Amino acid sequence: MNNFDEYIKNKAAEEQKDIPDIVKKRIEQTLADLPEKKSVIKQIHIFPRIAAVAACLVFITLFLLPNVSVAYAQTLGQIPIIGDIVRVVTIRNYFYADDKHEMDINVPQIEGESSEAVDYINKDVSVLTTALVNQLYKDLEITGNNGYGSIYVDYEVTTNTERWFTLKLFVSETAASSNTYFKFYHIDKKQGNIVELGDLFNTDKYSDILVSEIKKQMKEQMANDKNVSYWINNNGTGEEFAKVSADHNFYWNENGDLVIIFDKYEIGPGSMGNPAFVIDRDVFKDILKSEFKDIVF
Amino acid sequence: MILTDKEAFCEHIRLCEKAMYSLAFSIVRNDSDAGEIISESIYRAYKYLETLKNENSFKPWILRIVHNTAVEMIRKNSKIIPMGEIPDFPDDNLENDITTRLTVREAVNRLKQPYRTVVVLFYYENLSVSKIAQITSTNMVTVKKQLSRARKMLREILKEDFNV
Repeated sequence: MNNFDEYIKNKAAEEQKDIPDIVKKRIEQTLADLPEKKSVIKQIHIFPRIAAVAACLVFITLFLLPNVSVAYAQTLGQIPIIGDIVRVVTIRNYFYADDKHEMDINVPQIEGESSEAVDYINKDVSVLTTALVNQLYKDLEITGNNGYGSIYVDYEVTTNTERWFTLKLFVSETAASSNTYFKFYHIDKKQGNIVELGDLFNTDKYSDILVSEIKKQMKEQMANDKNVSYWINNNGTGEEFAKVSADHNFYWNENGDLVIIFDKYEIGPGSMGNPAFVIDRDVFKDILKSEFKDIVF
Repeated sequence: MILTDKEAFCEHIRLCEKAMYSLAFSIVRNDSDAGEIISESIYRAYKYLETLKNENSFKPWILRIVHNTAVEMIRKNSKIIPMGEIPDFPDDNLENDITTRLTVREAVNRLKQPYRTVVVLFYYENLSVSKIAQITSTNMVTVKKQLSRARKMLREILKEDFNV
């Protein structure tokens, strides 16, 4: 923490004020008016039974069956699993600041078992971030004190279960205008592969299905809120949205639904930011490849 | 652990009420609307309590509800002045008398949105950048940028005190 942050935090602590009576009374009244809630303790009570059954299944699957069945043991041995990757660390930080430019780039690296998938992602992230750093220094050389610009890169591990790993990279650039975009990297740990959107489906029709659903949601949002605007059809003010490419950004939400996320200006004006659409599992379940049907987080 | 009853829920709310008030006030800047936002947020949180998977995440969870409720109320209710369009607090005293010392809270209140909110969450509530990103439904890069700009503005406002 720098001196200024420390100064502000100390002052903030000294200046902490109590909640005004009017607000405090409102809170207490609201709490008093809440109905009693049914206890969910039952869920906790049944957990040990579920855990016991699960433990038995694990024992049978991983210990008993391989020892009594040669075929099963061979099959189990052939399943390529990326095990406990998966610690992600910041291996490098590029920082630069002057009155008109700012750069803060955190470069992540996946650590753990080496695999083609992990190596590919680490290399891709490195190439991308190096290119961004070089671009900023090049801009500095060209424009010097006459231009403004900033670039920030950061990352987040949004999923890291036994089944799936997702690394989300944010890139935010500001020059004449600002632009934020994302890059999602997914690893199917069961298969040991990098997975892109197109890999999830057993037909090329997935693009038409997703586009149709997204357009439906766009229209609903625009009908419900006059501030919402998307470029659905080519009406002279923007480009038509007609395709979701095989490497388009996506992630799974906690319900196992797909979330399709767009870059700024990709399907609407800048005021829409980075739009994201949740595609209910029912929409794509019939074209989802069998190996991904068990994905629920 | 899972919150199981009304009493436990109320206790958690009381532990977080200062933070809820600071956040709501940073957005609407009046006690009446802040109280309304907190009340509505408590109802919503209680209704959807089962969706909270980890009791330890209660504070960022409830603050996110407060933030969303405040933003929603601003959009729906024209009597609340939209974020970013709120006029600055009068600053004549400061400009006319350089010996006037502002408290940090007064300085924070002079910031526009979204800078007030990120400053309150970062400096007053000691929340991390990633938690603030969750609460404000943005991302860490955006929060870092907002904090960086807010710092510059606060340095300017408080330069007499901080000697930079």
